[in-house]
Amino acid sequence: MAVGAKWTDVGQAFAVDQLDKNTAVAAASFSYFGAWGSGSTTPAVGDTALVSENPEARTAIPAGSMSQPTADVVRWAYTIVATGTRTVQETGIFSASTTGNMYIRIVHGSLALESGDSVAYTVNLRLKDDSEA
Amino acid sequence: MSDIRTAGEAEASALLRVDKVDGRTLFYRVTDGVSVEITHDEYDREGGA
Repeated sequence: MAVGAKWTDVGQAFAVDQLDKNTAVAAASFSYFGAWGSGSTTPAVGDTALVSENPEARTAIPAGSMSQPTADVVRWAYTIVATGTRTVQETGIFSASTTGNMYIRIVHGSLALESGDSVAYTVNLRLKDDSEA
Repeated sequence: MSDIRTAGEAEASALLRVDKVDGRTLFYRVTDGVSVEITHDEYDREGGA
Protein backbone atom coordinates (compact mmCIF):
# COMPACT_ATOMS: atom_id res chain seq x y z
CA MET A 1 0.00 0.00 0.00
CA ALA A 2 1.07 3.52 -0.65
CA VAL A 3 -0.78 6.68 0.11
CA GLY A 4 -1.22 9.35 -2.48
CA ALA A 5 -3.56 11.52 -4.48
CA LYS A 6 -4.16 11.28 -8.22
CA TRP A 7 -6.13 13.32 -10.73
CA THR A 8 -7.29 10.47 -12.90
CA ASP A 9 -7.20 10.22 -16.67
CA VAL A 10 -11.00 10.48 -16.63
CA GLY A 11 -10.75 13.68 -14.59
CA GLN A 12 -8.20 15.11 -16.98
CA ALA A 13 -10.42 14.26 -19.95
CA PHE A 14 -13.35 16.02 -18.26
CA ALA A 15 -11.24 19.15 -17.74
CA VAL A 16 -10.22 19.17 -21.39
CA ASP A 17 -13.86 18.80 -22.42
CA GLN A 18 -14.75 21.77 -20.21
CA LEU A 19 -12.14 23.91 -22.00
CA ASP A 20 -13.55 22.96 -25.41
CA LYS A 21 -16.55 25.03 -26.54
CA ASN A 22 -17.74 22.03 -28.50
CA THR A 23 -18.03 19.79 -25.45
CA ALA A 24 -18.23 22.01 -22.36
CA VAL A 25 -21.40 21.70 -20.29
CA ALA A 26 -22.99 24.27 -17.98
CA ALA A 27 -22.40 24.02 -14.26
CA ALA A 28 -26.03 23.03 -13.70
CA SER A 29 -25.51 20.04 -15.98
CA PHE A 30 -22.90 18.18 -13.99
CA SER A 31 -22.45 17.17 -10.37
CA TYR A 32 -19.81 16.05 -7.91
CA PHE A 33 -20.11 13.45 -5.16
CA GLY A 34 -17.63 12.34 -2.51
CA ALA A 35 -17.28 8.66 -1.63
CA TRP A 36 -15.04 6.63 0.66
CA GLY A 37 -13.81 3.07 0.89
CA SER A 38 -11.43 0.62 2.51
CA GLY A 39 -9.12 -0.08 -0.43
CA SER A 40 -5.42 0.57 -0.04
CA THR A 41 -4.11 0.01 -3.55
CA THR A 42 -1.74 2.78 -4.57
CA PRO A 43 -3.72 5.38 -6.54
CA ALA A 44 -2.96 5.60 -10.25
CA VAL A 45 -4.15 7.88 -13.04
CA GLY A 46 -5.84 4.95 -14.74
CA ASP A 47 -8.12 4.25 -11.74
CA THR A 48 -11.83 4.42 -12.59
CA ALA A 49 -13.38 3.46 -9.23
CA LEU A 50 -12.54 3.04 -5.59
CA VAL A 51 -11.06 -0.37 -4.85
CA SER A 52 -13.62 -1.20 -2.16
CA GLU A 53 -16.29 1.45 -1.69
CA ASN A 54 -18.04 1.51 1.69
CA PRO A 55 -21.86 1.32 1.83
CA GLU A 56 -22.58 4.89 2.94
CA ALA A 57 -24.36 7.04 0.36
CA ARG A 58 -22.06 9.35 -1.55
CA THR A 59 -22.14 12.97 -0.37
CA ALA A 60 -23.28 15.56 -2.91
CA ILE A 61 -20.84 18.44 -3.32
CA PRO A 62 -22.82 21.55 -4.32
CA ALA A 63 -21.29 24.72 -5.70
CA GLY A 64 -21.32 26.19 -2.21
CA SER A 65 -18.92 23.47 -1.06
CA MET A 66 -16.39 24.35 -3.73
CA SER A 67 -13.90 27.20 -3.77
CA GLN A 68 -10.66 28.47 -5.25
CA PRO A 69 -8.31 29.25 -2.33
CA THR A 70 -5.82 30.50 -4.93
CA ALA A 71 -6.31 31.12 -8.64
CA ASP A 72 -4.69 27.82 -9.62
CA VAL A 73 -6.45 25.60 -7.08
CA VAL A 74 -9.96 24.14 -7.14
CA ARG A 75 -11.22 22.78 -3.81
CA TRP A 76 -14.00 20.31 -2.99
CA ALA A 77 -15.25 19.91 0.61
CA TYR A 78 -17.48 17.09 1.80
CA THR A 79 -18.19 15.05 4.91
CA ILE A 80 -19.16 11.39 5.19
CA VAL A 81 -20.56 9.83 8.37
CA ALA A 82 -20.02 6.15 9.20
CA THR A 83 -23.26 4.20 9.63
CA GLY A 84 -21.42 1.22 11.10
CA THR A 85 -17.95 0.09 12.05
CA ARG A 86 -15.76 0.95 9.09
CA THR A 87 -12.20 0.87 7.86
CA VAL A 88 -11.61 3.93 5.70
CA GLN A 89 -8.48 4.35 3.66
CA GLU A 90 -9.52 5.85 0.32
CA THR A 91 -11.77 8.57 -1.01
CA GLY A 92 -12.83 9.65 -4.46
CA ILE A 93 -14.71 12.43 -6.21
CA PHE A 94 -17.31 11.17 -8.67
CA SER A 95 -19.72 12.55 -11.26
CA ALA A 96 -22.77 10.71 -9.91
CA SER A 97 -24.31 9.30 -6.74
CA THR A 98 -23.73 5.77 -8.03
CA THR A 99 -21.17 4.47 -10.52
CA GLY A 100 -20.27 7.54 -12.66
CA ASN A 101 -16.79 8.82 -13.48
CA MET A 102 -14.11 9.14 -10.81
CA TYR A 103 -12.10 12.35 -11.22
CA ILE A 104 -9.75 12.06 -8.23
CA ARG A 105 -8.72 9.12 -6.02
CA ILE A 106 -6.85 9.53 -2.75
CA VAL A 107 -5.44 6.84 -0.46
CA HIS A 108 -4.72 7.97 3.11
CA GLY A 109 -3.65 6.39 6.37
CA SER A 110 -6.06 3.73 7.58
CA LEU A 111 -8.86 4.97 9.87
CA ALA A 112 -10.77 2.64 12.18
CA LEU A 113 -14.18 4.27 12.57
CA GLU A 114 -17.20 3.52 14.71
CA SER A 115 -20.79 4.29 13.78
CA GLY A 116 -21.27 8.04 14.01
CA ASP A 117 -17.64 8.92 13.39
CA SER A 118 -17.16 11.25 10.43
CA VAL A 119 -14.46 12.43 8.08
CA ALA A 120 -14.49 15.94 6.63
CA TYR A 121 -12.46 15.87 3.42
CA THR A 122 -10.93 18.98 1.86
CA VAL A 123 -9.55 17.99 -1.54
CA ASN A 124 -7.37 20.36 -3.55
CA LEU A 125 -6.39 20.12 -7.20
CA ARG A 126 -3.65 22.52 -8.21
CA LEU A 127 -2.55 23.17 -11.78
CA LYS A 128 0.96 24.50 -11.99
CA ASP A 129 3.73 25.13 -14.46
CA ASP A 130 7.32 23.97 -14.21
CA SER A 131 8.46 27.22 -12.58
CA GLU A 132 6.33 26.52 -9.51
CA ALA A 133 7.21 24.26 -6.60
CA MET B 1 5.40 20.86 -31.03
CA SER B 2 5.99 20.18 -27.39
CA ASP B 3 3.54 18.37 -25.19
CA ILE B 4 1.98 20.89 -22.81
CA ARG B 5 2.25 18.31 -20.04
CA THR B 6 6.03 18.72 -20.11
CA ALA B 7 5.58 22.35 -19.05
CA GLY B 8 2.93 21.86 -16.41
CA GLU B 9 1.43 19.37 -14.05
CA ALA B 10 -1.41 18.81 -11.64
CA GLU B 11 -1.08 18.16 -7.95
CA ALA B 12 -3.92 16.63 -5.98
CA SER B 13 -3.87 16.74 -2.18
CA ALA B 14 -6.27 16.54 0.75
CA LEU B 15 -6.85 17.55 4.34
CA LEU B 16 -8.86 15.27 6.61
CA ARG B 17 -10.69 16.11 9.82
CA VAL B 18 -11.82 12.98 11.67
CA ASP B 19 -14.48 13.56 14.33
CA LYS B 20 -14.89 10.56 16.64
CA VAL B 21 -18.00 9.88 18.67
CA ASP B 22 -15.79 9.57 21.75
CA GLY B 23 -14.98 13.27 21.41
CA ARG B 24 -11.53 13.02 19.83
CA THR B 25 -10.71 14.95 16.65
CA LEU B 26 -7.77 14.05 14.42
CA PHE B 27 -6.29 15.97 11.49
CA TYR B 28 -4.28 14.67 8.53
CA ARG B 29 -2.60 16.00 5.42
CA VAL B 30 -2.32 13.77 2.33
CA THR B 31 -0.08 14.57 -0.60
CA ASP B 32 1.32 12.27 -3.24
CA GLY B 33 3.19 9.66 -1.24
CA VAL B 34 2.69 11.15 2.22
CA SER B 35 -0.14 10.94 4.77
CA VAL B 36 0.70 12.55 8.09
CA GLU B 37 -1.16 13.64 11.20
CA ILE B 38 -1.09 17.40 11.68
CA THR B 39 -2.18 19.81 14.40
CA HIS B 40 -5.49 21.64 14.50
CA ASP B 41 -3.60 24.89 13.90
CA GLU B 42 -1.91 23.50 10.78
CA TYR B 43 -5.26 22.24 9.52
CA ASP B 44 -6.87 25.65 9.98
CA ARG B 45 -3.89 27.43 8.45
CA GLU B 46 -4.11 25.24 5.34
CA GLY B 47 -7.81 25.93 4.90
CA GLY B 48 -9.41 22.70 5.99
CA ALA B 49 -13.19 22.77 5.80
